[in-house]
Amino acid sequence: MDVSLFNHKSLRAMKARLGRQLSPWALTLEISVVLLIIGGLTLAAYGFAVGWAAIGLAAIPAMIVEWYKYELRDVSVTKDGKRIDDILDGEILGLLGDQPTPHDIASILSKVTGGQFFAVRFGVSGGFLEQVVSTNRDDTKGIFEEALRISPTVGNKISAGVLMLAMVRQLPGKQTLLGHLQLDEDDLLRGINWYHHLRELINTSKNKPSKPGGVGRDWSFGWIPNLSRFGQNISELNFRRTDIRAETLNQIMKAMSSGRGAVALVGLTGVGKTQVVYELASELMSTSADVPDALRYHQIFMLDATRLISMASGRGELEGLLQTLLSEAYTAKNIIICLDNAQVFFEEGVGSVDVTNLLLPILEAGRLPIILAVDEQKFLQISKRTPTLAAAVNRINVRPTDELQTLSVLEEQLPNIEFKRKVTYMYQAIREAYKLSARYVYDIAMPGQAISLLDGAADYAESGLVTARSVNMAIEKTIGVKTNIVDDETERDKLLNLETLIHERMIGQEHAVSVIADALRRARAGIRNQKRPVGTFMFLGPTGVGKTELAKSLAAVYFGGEQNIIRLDMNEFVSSDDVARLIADGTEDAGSLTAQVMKQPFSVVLLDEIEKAHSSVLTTLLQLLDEGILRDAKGREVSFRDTIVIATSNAGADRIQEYLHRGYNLEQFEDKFVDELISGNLFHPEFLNRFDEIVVFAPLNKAELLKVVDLILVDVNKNLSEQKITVTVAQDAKEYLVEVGYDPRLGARPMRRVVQRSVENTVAKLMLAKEVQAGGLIEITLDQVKEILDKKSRADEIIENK
Amino acid sequence: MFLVGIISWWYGSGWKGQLRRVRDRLAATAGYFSIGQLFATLFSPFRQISAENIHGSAAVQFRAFFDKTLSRVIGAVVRLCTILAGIISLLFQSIFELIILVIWLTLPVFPIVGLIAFVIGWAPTWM
Repeated sequence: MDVSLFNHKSLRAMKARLGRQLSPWALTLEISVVLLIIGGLTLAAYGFAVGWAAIGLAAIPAMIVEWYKYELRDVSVTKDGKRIDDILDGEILGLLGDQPTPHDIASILSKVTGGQFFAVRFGVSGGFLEQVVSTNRDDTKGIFEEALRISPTVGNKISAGVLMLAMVRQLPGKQTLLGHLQLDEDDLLRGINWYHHLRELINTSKNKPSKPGGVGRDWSFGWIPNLSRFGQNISELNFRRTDIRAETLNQIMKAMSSGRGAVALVGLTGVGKTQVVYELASELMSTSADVPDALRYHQIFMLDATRLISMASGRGELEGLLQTLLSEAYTAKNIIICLDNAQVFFEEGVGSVDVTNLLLPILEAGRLPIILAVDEQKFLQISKRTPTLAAAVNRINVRPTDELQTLSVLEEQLPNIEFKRKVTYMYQAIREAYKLSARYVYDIAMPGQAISLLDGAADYAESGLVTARSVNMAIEKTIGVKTNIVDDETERDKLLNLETLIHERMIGQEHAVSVIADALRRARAGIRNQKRPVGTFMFLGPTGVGKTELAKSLAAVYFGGEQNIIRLDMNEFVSSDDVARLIADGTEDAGSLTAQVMKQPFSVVLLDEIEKAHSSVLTTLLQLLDEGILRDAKGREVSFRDTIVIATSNAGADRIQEYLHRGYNLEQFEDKFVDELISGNLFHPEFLNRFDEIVVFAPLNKAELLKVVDLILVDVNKNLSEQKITVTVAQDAKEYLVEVGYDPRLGARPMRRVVQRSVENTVAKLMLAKEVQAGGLIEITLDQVKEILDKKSRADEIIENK
Repeated sequence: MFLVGIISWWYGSGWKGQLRRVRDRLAATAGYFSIGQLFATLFSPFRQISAENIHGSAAVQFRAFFDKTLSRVIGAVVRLCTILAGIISLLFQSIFELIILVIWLTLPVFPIVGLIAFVIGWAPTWM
């Protein structure tokens, strides 16, 4: 091994090895020190001079223990070191031999803390690497050189993670390995920094005073009996901090120390407003130089609105209580009041009391430091109602975190969640939680979105480990969306035989069925464009040819039931004002398209008779078709990326009939027909172009109609199953039913009524005449059908549903 | 290597580390008793009791002045007691830390001294 790269005999390397050798003996040495001193003193006391020798000898293990504790156990990194042995983690260095092979290094990684961290959090274990890396000494050089290249990006250290990343980078099949683990190199780099951060936290927490400021800290400040009773002193809780909100914290401290004491933290729910206050409380109690002297050791008291309101019987009493608490805080001179969910103090309603008249003068005076944590929308409403309030406070916006910031927050919060839920989270779970919550959790903002999902995923932990799969399952079980790539045998079979399954419910239209089935298979195999709906289809054709039936069949076969279809009759959206109804907030209109998809993101969206919708409505739908998102009335992005969007239209139905009468078949006129629709201004080309496929449905032929009769009979028999009666219909009777039941204007739609009426009436007559009993089989003949549908006009009546 | 390593560490970075730990421990004790802060606010009203500004007649103001003065006196006494307790603790701790430092400096020669004492054969004869 090149000594300029790794010097096994360097002083640091030797110390690390010595530390490792001494490690199992440290306790024994400490005990021997105590025994030698006690024994020596006893002997000397009884007049045996050998006692002095024992005391003197105790110095040797005592010195060794001190050396071990303060230097050898964790040999410090050599400043500006350029070799591996200068900056390699002491725990690993102590185990490293003179000429290590990659296999030896992997073996060491499985024994050290850092290696175990990566094994649990990322699934990259030393044991696994042992199986894939070489046993050739010459390959170690490449790993060490790579580790030295990585170290400047992670704080000039080489820990277990750095060596793992260096080894992975040297592997010929690294992409396969990382792909299998659902990771990339950036994730491992992130993991290294995460591990270093945790180590640093552990080290700093050891030296943190338990009560910053000491016993006399509060003696110069006020006595606060009521505040202690009704408020929560969050400064007593020791909250860890990320640097993400550093700027916001500085803004608050600056605003408060500038003399204008009221601050409004404004942001969406889940954005971390309360967390900011907790972090501020922790910061004020620290010895950080960033804390202005005017605020040092100030304590933040959180006032719980619900508790205060429940303690006071009426407005007067509540005002009196608040007055007392705020006076106490003011005279104490070291209290910052935080009103969480402050909106409840500024509006009248259930669980809220408007005490603006009391709070406004205090906020305007600005002498008492107050933090109001308010929801963004609510703050706008309050500001509109009481503009002076908005002017009296320093508004500080707390914005939702981006992906990297959210991951940092999650890494920080994880130990708390793990402690509470008694589970361990993998890094892949954190990333998946961010991805899926951003897409499916609407009510709260980041990072609250991801935290709530991650918390929920603990219920789906496997052997105490929360994986990406656990997060997927949490989403699947709570909102019914299938997020994982298919790996279940039953589902795989269903997908492969989707056409057959759909044809069990509907007849014909093979092309339409196959495009839908293909789209779904692509989606579930994970090879579709994730930023669009699963599939967008326009079904064109006359009434009663199966357009709507296909959407229903798809919902029933794959989306868990016909109820998982979101059906909008577009003839109800004929004016530009109807756009508002399409995207209305769920609290105002639960039937709006966005509200339904928020509730049920994995579904079939059926836009029936799309040609009747107003052009503004169609324009609104463009983004949905293109990017799979639609903004609702509240400005939230609603994802349609797990839906199949089917628009149906009768437009040009006569033209289809005309083509067919002229002897064309579907394939011959399909494209021409679509062009005619565009040139006839029935649809704008930019609208039609947004669909993955435009499918023209031809009217069913006689053979297909006979199959439809069979399908209807299956349903009729299901209805009769309670009477244990089975019905069959003679072939000539079926043909008659097709003849009288088919209407060129309405397609096969009236046929169900005709078949049901004729068969059920015949069965009823036979049952009343006691010509059939339970368990019997009835074969309905042509004559019996004719008897019911004696005249064509009777059938017409049924068709017209008179 | 072992002997050279341990001795050079003992009187080098080991000694510096020991000094730093002694300093930190003394600072922690001073911090615990808030000595600096108590000195700075020695005559502030104790827990801000009767510290508010009172408006009213001369009698009322005189009463308030009396209350405030009493609060300040109580505060000063409590703080002085605490400061005193802190200073005494620091004094004792300083003596203890000094002994620790002396032991640190002399510890490497303890085995030799012990052996010499053993060879000389002196032992207390009080029993």
